[in-house]
Amino acid sequence: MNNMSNNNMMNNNMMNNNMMNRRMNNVPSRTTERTMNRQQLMDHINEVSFAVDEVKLYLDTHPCDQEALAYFREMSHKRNHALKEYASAYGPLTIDTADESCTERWNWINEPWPWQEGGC
Amino acid sequence: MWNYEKRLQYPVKITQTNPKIAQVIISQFGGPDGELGASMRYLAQRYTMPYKEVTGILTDIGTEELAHLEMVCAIVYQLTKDLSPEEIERSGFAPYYVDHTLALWPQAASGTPWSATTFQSKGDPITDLHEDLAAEQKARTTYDNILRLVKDPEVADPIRFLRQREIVHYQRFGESLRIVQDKLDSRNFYAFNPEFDK
Repeated sequence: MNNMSNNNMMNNNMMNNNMMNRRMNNVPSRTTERTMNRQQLMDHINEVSFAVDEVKLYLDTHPCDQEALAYFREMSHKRNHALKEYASAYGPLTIDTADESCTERWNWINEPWPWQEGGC
Repeated sequence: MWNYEKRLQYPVKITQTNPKIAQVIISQFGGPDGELGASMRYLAQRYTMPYKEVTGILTDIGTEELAHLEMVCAIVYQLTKDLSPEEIERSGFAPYYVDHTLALWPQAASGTPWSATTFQSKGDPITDLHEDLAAEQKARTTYDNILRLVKDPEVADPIRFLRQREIVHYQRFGESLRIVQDKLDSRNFYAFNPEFDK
């Protein structure tokens, strides 16, 4: 998660335009997503998911901010897409993407849990 | 209703065990200003909150605190993984070990069990939001105290992430308090309790 640098995170509080632009520029496009290895795809999921977490709280108290709404839409779309990619390649992280990797086995329990070695 | 997501909000990858520091960090699981109390505080307060923005923020921050609890537990788990009886003895981990082996249990660094008496759900939006603002600052101070003791960058990195989230949550609760006050009588914010008086 190098892109999601501590500098950005230490920048205290509010979503401002610079911060949003910086974050958006750091997020890879969907074409690069296909060439990512497992760790890179996981980092990408963590980054876009964090963007969604952050803008979600901001929107709760600023529900009419159009720029934040557009940012939410873009990040949410990237997140959902990446979660599906991850599920089909490595196993599901969410129950809603579990059918992407469903073969003859229940894969939800196969991959390591997030606190374990090799987990997310 | 909640859905589990099989990843941490921010990665925790600790390669060196350190039961001494684990005993300090466990306070952010079950201590007086820890993540379990934080989550329970906001998720308890939200039911009677009359303003939709604030009900939303209590729900979403209360949910994020569960993800923080999971990160704190992952840190403690990795810091105490596969300890030998000798290491347990040497590091002062024996009093915890005798009751819980290497399992996670919500307690303060002092050994005091987690308790709902560490938070309030008062049923008055101004009172509860002041409680929430104070809680975020108390948690931030606890992370600052932890960071003064932590030398391992693999431990400090996720702790810094958690510390930063306290500051963002403080900001959002401040905005929530402003939203509540905007809806009340500015000549006397305490003229009535919008969670009780109709």
